[in-house]
Amino acid sequence: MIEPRILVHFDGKKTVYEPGEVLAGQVRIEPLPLEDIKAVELSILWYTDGKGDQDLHVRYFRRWSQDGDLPLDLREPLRFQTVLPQTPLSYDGLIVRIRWCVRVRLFRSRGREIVEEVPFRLGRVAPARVRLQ
Amino acid sequence: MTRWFRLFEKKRGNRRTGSERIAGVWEGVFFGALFLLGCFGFWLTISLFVLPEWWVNRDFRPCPARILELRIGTTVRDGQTLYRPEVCIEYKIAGRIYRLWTYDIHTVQGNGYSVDKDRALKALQKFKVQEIITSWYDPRDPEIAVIDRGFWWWAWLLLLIPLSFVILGAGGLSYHLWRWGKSAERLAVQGRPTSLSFSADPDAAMYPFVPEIPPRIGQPGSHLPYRLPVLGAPYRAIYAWLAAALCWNLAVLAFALGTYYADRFDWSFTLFLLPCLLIGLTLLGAFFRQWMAASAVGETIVEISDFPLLCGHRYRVYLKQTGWLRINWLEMLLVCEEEATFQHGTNTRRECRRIWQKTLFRHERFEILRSVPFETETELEIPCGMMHSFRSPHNEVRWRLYVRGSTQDWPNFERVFPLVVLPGPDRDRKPEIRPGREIISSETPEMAEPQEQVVPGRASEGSS
Repeated sequence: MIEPRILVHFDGKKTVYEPGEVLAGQVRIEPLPLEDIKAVELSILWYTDGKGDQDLHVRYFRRWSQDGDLPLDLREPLRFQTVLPQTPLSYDGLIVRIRWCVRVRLFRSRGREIVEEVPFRLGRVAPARVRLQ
Repeated sequence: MTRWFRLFEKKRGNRRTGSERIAGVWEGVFFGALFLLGCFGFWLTISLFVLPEWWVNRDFRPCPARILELRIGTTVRDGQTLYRPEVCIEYKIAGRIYRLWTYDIHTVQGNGYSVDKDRALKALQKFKVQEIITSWYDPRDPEIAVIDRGFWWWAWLLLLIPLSFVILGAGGLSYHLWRWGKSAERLAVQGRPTSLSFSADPDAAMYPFVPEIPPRIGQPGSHLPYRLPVLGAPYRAIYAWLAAALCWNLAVLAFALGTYYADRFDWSFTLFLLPCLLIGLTLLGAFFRQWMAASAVGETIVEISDFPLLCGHRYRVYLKQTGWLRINWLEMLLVCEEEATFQHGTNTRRECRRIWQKTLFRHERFEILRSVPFETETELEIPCGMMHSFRSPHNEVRWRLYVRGSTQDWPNFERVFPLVVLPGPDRDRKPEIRPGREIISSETPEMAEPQEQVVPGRASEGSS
């Protein structure tokens, strides 16, 4: 059996966004037919990745499922759109890093769930270096 | 996403060990076992202690009985002798005479022993042989009768132990059942209906995850519009030394007086007391030194031309240092730090890295008098491309002003003033001095790199 693939496209093919800008795109799952897919979750989120315990905040969340509020129809691409917040901006610190991404989870009737994560940057903060003067 | 309670997962440096799914299963099993253990303990306590007492008080009927004999019953458990009061009574039910050794329902059930022999004797002193007393018998089985119907209060107290197991187990189990099969993102939105467009707090805030402006910042300055609150006032250290000195000296005094009145005050005790008195005097000395230093250094006042601050903008900052001091050096630093909090085994650790620091001014060799405080005004700039203030439960990027000084007569001092830095409103603008709250800006290239020299960093680590 062929593993389904998750394809995430951002409108305008951008990878760097400014605070307050609209992030929009679509998700397609291939190949069809996809009878064993129970649900699809799409999140636009940031998480910390560094020395500290991970913090995660979901800015936008949608769940399409056969029995949920949003019916799952994979013949059409799944659209998403949100206005990005002013903060927190993407950041590469020494022990604190903030990553923004679009994460898609595919829940199947059998087998493990499939996760696809597409990173993007919010804002233009320079990577941290130790500067003492 | 980090689970709020972790039994079966560890952090090794920047990575975690094991599978979160397996850890979840084991934690579910653990809480399930805790719940079952609590239920079993609850049932045992109820059936052995609470229910028989309740049954005696509710169903047993009174009847007159004659005391024939009194004795203290004994048994040996785990090598220790236990005692209980036993009274032999004779009573008549429906024309039939019954005779048995009894006291309360626990005695009838073969329990009721305790290590306290005096308590058993005291219980027996209430009765006299051949005395007629009221006994209570079981109408379903008249061969069971008691002469004491009281409740054991500690039996009810005992219920708290299994009850805590039940609450912990049920809470943990329901939490794990609620989490089961849900993604980290779905859990992060707290199980709210998926049709909602999660725009509630903190996303509703203009700048989510930027620390709140300290409430005391509303206080207007005398020189510039905003007076910054100080973090970690020196009074805490003074109170800590005072508490330590008082506790130690009072304890030594109480011990010495107790020994004196017990007529055990000899030369060996005096030898023991001398170092204790020395420690007490040292603590008092430390308290007075701290108190004198705090009063001599005086108040540090920092005011700023605008608040919160924006990346890529310049501000006026004013410092007033009061006191009575001969200063070796006094400096003000603008600092950006990262702080990460993480679980390391069973400890919560905190690591802090200073990533950016700029000395705003440094003055050397001067004197501050009571009537003439030191005052200076300078300019600070938050460089373009720097990270804004950020705080999440385990990670933080913070901006602070440090005022540090070295004096000839007192220990070095350091006062910390928190800042809140927001990302610049428009990155294509050049930083300008912002008088008051008015924002003035002009064009500049994007992502300007600060011109500081790269030097090895300083790291500090601690645990809480």
